[in-house]
Amino acid sequence: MSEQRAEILRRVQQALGRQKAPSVDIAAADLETRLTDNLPRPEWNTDSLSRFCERLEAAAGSHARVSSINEVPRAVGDYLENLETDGHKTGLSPHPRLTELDWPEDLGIDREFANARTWGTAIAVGYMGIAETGSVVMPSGPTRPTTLNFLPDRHIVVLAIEDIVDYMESVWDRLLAEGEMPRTVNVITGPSRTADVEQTLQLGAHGPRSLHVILVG
Amino acid sequence: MAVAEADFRARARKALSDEDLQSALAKAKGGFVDKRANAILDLPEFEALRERGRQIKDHTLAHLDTYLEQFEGNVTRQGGQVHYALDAESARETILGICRDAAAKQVIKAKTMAGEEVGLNEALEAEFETVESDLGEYIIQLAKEPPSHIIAPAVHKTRAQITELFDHHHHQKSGGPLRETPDLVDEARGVLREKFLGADIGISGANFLVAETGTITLVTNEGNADLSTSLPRVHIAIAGVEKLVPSMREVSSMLRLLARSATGQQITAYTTFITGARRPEDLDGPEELHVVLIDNGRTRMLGDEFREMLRCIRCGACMNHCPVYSAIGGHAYGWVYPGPMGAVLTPMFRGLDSSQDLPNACTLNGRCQSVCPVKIRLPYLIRRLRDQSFEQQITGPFARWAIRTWGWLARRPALYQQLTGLMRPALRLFGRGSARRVPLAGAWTAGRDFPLPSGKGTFQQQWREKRGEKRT
Repeated sequence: MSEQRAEILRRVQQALGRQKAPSVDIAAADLETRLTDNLPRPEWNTDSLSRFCERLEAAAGSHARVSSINEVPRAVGDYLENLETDGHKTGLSPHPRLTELDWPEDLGIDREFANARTWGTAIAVGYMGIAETGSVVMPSGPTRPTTLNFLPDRHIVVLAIEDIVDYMESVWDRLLAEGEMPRTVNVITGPSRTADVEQTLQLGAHGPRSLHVILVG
Repeated sequence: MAVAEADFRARARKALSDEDLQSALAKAKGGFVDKRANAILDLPEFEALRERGRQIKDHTLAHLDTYLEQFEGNVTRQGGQVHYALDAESARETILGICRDAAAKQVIKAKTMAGEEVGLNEALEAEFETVESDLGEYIIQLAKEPPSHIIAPAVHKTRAQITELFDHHHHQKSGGPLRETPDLVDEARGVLREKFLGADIGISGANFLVAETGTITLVTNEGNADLSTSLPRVHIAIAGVEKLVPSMREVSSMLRLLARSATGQQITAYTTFITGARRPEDLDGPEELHVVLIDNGRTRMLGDEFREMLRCIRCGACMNHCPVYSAIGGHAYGWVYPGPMGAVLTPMFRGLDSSQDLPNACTLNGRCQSVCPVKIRLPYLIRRLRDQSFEQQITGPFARWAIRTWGWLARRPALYQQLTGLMRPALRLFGRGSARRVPLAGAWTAGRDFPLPSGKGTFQQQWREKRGEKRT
């Protein structure tokens, strides 16, 4: 195995005409001289929150707004009221901002992550939102298990408006300033979909059939 | 991959008369092209973004040793393991070895073109229950066919054919009524959910590898790659060494290019960044992460004039805009990479002698280059392969004689003009406009009319006249 590693590196360096790899700093300096334009990114005329909502809707996601975190249980109740949940439970991601809330009995909230595979709806806390694309950012960790983003039919994400940034690059700036990259970062834009049957768009392929963002602030 | 590259012509002819294929291709054609065009209308900066994409990839390839070492160091630091494979066989062996070590029984796969390239499925299926989870890949796995498009592997299948496959494999019946798309998607969801939950190993590709952090980037719309890489206890990612980009900032730019070029989206539903294995405090995620980096011909390309082909981010825009691909579909190309990118990659990876027809199955119209998100000069590379084919005497004796004769003539302008001057009145004997049949041009007129000279004089005479007019 390490023989193949050495051979591939040898071939790469032979192709590039050298015997030693330049340092990361030298490489970074070369990149800066090559990049001619300012970072080309989409721009928009509205404020970040409007852009976020517009892009989220364009990706078949929905949203509601509350003024404080304490209103989240009521907003969840409103959202689930008109949906067919087939008796499947609603579960909470083990995030203190959710578990410390006062959840009304009739929502039948399950707090046991071990039961997550049976949940019909999962509620999680978004780390950040990206206005450019209407995406929610979900880094993995003890308060944000990855599988909750994909197993349930309905995915509800609670997101503080102040955590919406304009571009994906700002997410990396904040995450890397806080430490290492987590095991997984899921950037989620709308519910799961496929167009593999005759190019017809169909929601709910393998992941959630719906994505609802509760904006706080 | 069992399909032989040789005999492109026979497969192309068959594809042209395959009604199901033609109906599926007709449905797909406009969709991809229109969606991409609309996405780009919304982004005036797209041209600048393409240039940036080219710069990022060129820079990365010129520092590939630096970034490979940096990537490996970071993956290892985060509890993952990087493996290197020089060729397809050692890639398969490495992956089989990891599966055996994990005492695996079931493998779930997310779509990987690198996996297709090394023939991973056949090797896995011999030992493990192996299921593709991307809906398109699942459909063609049931049909026992290779993908016909790099991002829409089952684009050649009609709904009727998918209905039949599902009826047969899920219900052991046939001849049932045509089923609706939501019904088919739902059934696959149910069947595959069990497979996700039962799998010991998840195998994915990688859209990008980020050196700065040791991160694997995956894009899907279905969420299948995410379930494949978060539920099983082992995750194996397979990718070509050229998938590297320097940092998270650069991968953000590349993702803007990829989604728009591939599906006309601003971003896919799921864009996932995986760094290392499960952390002690995590509640889920695989305990082992293996990244298998393959060479399989790439380092050779790095050292020659085909280096720019390594910029390719596998978006499929070139095939979506290719008139030849649109007419014959992907299978006619005979290997895993179809369309213009395949016409370059297949000869690179498999040898020009077994795929010499592919660079010739091109009209050099240049649309592929104009839509390529990283500005690969595909027509130029295809022309260079034609040159090589001639130089290496792969081109047949008659064609070589004809090309050489034409070359000799073209270098003698006076004689050339005299001869074409004679051809004109001769062709006029067949009439005006175009002719159904012309002697010695049977291969041409079998499929289309032969255009006859129009206007006054030969093309060169008309050209001189027009330029003369312009100057005065």
